[in-house]
Amino acid sequence: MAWIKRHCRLLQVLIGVTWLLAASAQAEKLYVVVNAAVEVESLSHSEVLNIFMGRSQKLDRQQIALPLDISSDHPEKAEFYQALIHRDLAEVNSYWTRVMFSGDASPPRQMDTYEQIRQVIRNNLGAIAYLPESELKQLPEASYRVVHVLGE
Amino acid sequence: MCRFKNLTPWILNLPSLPKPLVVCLVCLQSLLLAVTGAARAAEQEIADDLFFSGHATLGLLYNTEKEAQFYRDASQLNADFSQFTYQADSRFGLRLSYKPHSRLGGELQLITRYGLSNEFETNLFSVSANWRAGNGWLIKAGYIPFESFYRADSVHVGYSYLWARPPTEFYTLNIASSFKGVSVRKSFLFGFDTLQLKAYGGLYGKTPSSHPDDQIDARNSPLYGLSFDYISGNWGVSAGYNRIKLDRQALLSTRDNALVPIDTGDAATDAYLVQVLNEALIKDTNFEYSYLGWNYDRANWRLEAVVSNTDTGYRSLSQANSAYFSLGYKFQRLTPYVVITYVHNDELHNLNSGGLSDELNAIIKQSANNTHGEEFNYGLGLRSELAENIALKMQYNHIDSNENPSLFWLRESENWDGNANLFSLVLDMVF
Repeated sequence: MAWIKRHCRLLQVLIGVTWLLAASAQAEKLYVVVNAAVEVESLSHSEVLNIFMGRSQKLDRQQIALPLDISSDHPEKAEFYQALIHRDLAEVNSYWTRVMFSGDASPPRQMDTYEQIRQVIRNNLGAIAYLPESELKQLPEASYRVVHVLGE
Repeated sequence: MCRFKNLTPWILNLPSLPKPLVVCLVCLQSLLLAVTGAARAAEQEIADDLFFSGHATLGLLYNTEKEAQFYRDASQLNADFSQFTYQADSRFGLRLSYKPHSRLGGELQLITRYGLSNEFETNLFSVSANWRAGNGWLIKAGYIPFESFYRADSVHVGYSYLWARPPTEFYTLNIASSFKGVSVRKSFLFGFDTLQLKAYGGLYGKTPSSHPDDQIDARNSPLYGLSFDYISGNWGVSAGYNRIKLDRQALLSTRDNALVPIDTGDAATDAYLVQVLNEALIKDTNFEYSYLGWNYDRANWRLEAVVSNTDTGYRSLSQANSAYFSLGYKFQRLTPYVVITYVHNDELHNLNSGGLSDELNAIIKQSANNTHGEEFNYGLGLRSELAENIALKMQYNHIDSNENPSLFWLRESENWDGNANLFSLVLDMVF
């Protein structure tokens, strides 16, 4: 009986580990992209954080950043901020509420669809956004540059 | 998900609607927006380059103490709240921002709250032009929120902080809300760390209310200030100093506003007494505020500790030292918290009323004693995130006033022992 109990426990642990691995595999990588014409090869985690939290307004020496957010209906938004600053969306909103009504900065521009984001990325030199791989594939390769990857 | 269309632009464009009706309509649709999930805590585009956002707080407050009336800040000094009130904590704000260029823009903010006129009133909170000059410079000019205390420039935006309302004893003496002038900010980035230095100056905009009986009338008085913010990962430190030079000294502008009622039966004598009291009680013409704040947000912990000093420039209230400490822990959508506040007014020193009669000296000393106070406030609360942009907060406060508490309370009776309990229920929304 003891042998059976020991192996049952081992089985439970294996199932748990497998479930955790499967869950983590489901979390899609998020690609932070800019317009291909901008002279930015890559951005560090802190630079992405500073741009999306309103602390920095620059993509490079010349270009003013235009950060773009997808609407909260898309789960990638919550995943992005969790990976970026370990905060849920309510806390991110609380932060932006204070900063915005202080007049110090404006939150990233909200977009309802990824199609809108792709359009702004193509047409605006300062645009910076995060996209899951499935949405990134729909952008012509010549039009964008991946400057950071979250979830790696 | 059920969707409700944002009708605010349409409401604001309606011609000749009474102001209260416009506010009610916008409030109603804000609630619908928030509840149906169509709103976000972000700017919503209502036209090319024109964006809209807002906040609303519906608050209920119950004061168990019949012998003393509670109020939140200096803007409610004329209030006549009952024990159960919705006026003290409810407010509504709108913000329009215009961004025709990546470096240039402007914004306008309005706020509706219960003010000195003893009714809900809508006031201009901010209207300014902004210029992002590059290299971390931000220059603002116009009518700008005044950061007298730690984060005082967003003190009305309930959703932005943890508590039902910001610690009362700490913000009571915040008499200013906005000023006409210029603000210059420079940001420095060091990896994940940010340093922001800000300097500003201008003219005091207006008193908290346009009511003619304002106790402190300082319109167009010059002010200046400096602030410092350092954010490093999970913690941040802020400090600030600012000063208002009062050009118009009208603490006791009418006999009814006097700290001790003046009624000799003769109007001329009353007017003379008001004048003498003004001269005797005002030490110099400066209000000075300084603060030092620290916050720490790591994993689920939320800590904040702030100290401040106010030198009001009045003999009867020479200095007020305030402090609060707040600790919260986030369990998914629920954040229980405690907040402890303390305020102390320095004892009256060097009251120099030489040359005045004994009767006048007695009045001056009585006035001074009536404004001297010390108070502890122990709060326990729970914040619940109902949605991404709606929070429900419940808070209990026990207040222990060790000395004469008249500075922080309205119309307390002689029978009051200085203790009181407050229960707050607040719904905060942003849209």
